Amino acid sequence: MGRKYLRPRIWIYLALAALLFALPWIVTGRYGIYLATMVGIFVILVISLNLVFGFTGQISLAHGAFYGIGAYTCGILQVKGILPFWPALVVAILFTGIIGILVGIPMLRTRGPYFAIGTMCLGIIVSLVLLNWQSLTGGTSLGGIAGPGRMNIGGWEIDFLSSKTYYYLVLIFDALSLFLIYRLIHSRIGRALIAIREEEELAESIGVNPMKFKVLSFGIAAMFAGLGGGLYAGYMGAIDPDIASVGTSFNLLVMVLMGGAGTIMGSIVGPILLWMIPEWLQAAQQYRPLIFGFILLLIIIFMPRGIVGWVRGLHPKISDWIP
Amino acid sequence: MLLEVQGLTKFFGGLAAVLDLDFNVGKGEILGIIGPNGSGKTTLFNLITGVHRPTRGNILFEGRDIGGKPSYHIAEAGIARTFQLTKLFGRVSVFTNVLMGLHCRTKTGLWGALARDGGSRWEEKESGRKVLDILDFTGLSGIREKTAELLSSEEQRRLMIAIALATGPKLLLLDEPTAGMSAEETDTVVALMNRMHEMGITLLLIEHNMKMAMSVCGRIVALENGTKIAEGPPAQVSTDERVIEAYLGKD
Repeated sequence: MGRKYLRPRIWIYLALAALLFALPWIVTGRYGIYLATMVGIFVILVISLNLVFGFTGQISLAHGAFYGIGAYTCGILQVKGILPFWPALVVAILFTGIIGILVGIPMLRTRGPYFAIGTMCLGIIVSLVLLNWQSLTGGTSLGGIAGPGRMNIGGWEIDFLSSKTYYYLVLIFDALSLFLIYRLIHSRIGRALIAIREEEELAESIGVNPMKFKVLSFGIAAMFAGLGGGLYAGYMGAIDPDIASVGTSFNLLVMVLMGGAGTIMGSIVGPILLWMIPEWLQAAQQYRPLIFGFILLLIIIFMPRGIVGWVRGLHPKISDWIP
Repeated sequence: MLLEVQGLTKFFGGLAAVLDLDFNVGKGEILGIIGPNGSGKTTLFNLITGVHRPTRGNILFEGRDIGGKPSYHIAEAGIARTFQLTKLFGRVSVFTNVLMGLHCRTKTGLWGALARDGGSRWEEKESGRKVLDILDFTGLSGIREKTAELLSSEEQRRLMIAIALATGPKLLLLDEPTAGMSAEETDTVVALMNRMHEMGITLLLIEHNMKMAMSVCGRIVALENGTKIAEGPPAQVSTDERVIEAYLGKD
């Protein structure tokens, strides 16, 4: 991939960044900004699941569980008065990453559907633990998470309790996550992951240790899920075990597929679509789930590589523009 | 000796796919392994490259035992292979396929990938240059931007060799590299094999086609039911009674 191709990409990034920056002025009301923030948090979850599923080729149904572990780690540390938000967020990221690696080492020995089922079981276990370990997790709901509150940088007061500010905070983490995973994918390590996805036996025969790179990919993805969870906990102030459910993992998987597995841009498009389509269908009232399901079905049938995968396939030039 | 196979045996259940096999490969040789279907040729390759673990026996590469080691260690040690049924990284470009082959000869880690420091940028540039050389060498330069799965089957075979070459092998194992090819396509691959040989790469070639094996190999080992039935120069092996029997059956 030569440098000459990167030019149009930069314009696409800038246009996208400008749009996202202006979003709080485009969408009106608290609810609009809530949706934008949730999309932002889900971009972090989807880009990291894409690393495991889209780029390494392992269908994980544990991503919701890692999201939950991150949210609860960040939340519990604050509620119990052990750490304030920022260090709690760092601990949440590291702790979720460690859990990801510890779980990944035995799980990743299984392949294909067995790995999917194994990770799904992990999701169920995590939800059950969160619900039943009441002394630690507060049972059905954990409230009173302080979040980042106010911050003073060089005499400049930033109030994260304002939903606009929190949106920008999430946006910064989105940019950082996308940037880091983009760099990872376009490196020797990313190529090893893609090699495993494409043909594991050949990858091994050219010197790639599949276990090492699968665990790496799984662990990094878990860290990002922990970040997403921590940001969610700080934003909502209250969390419940449902966020760690297999349902969340399925939603994330659908977002990866809709946006485009193995594409960076698809990780932005997927969450936008899955959060926004139900909103756009308000007028349909009780028929909303039916129409929503039908739209998803059409995308799966006519765009098996997701929306971004489909757009990239229109013309060879386009795939140089859209990462 | 580059490769020494001693008493190599592999059982699948009760069935011996390879039984008490001994042979050596000298540096700079082109050694052919021939034998009818099911004689254990591909199993032998899988044992040498760590896909299967030997039931017993030794495989020494440059004097060190590599039997039962994982494939990626064996690639690092300097043994590369191609597969009988083409295996490629299908949905990426020809260029990237070969670039992936450089994995074990490069070392950019997590930090280098994320920070793109001087070392990893330099390595990336060097890698690109090496890939272009290998593409030139294998005659794939003109199609380097094409997606691997869209190539013709002959181009795919050459790409598989190019990926193997990228790992910097001392010994290259080729599993029926010309199976199903036209005479012209076969000539292209044979010419490529000769050029690799001139470069100093030792070749171990599985060949079903006796005529092709005779013309390329300096020495031949013939297998039947996992054991060696003949070994020597092509002229000698091709007239060996047991070899003729194995191929044509008893009258």
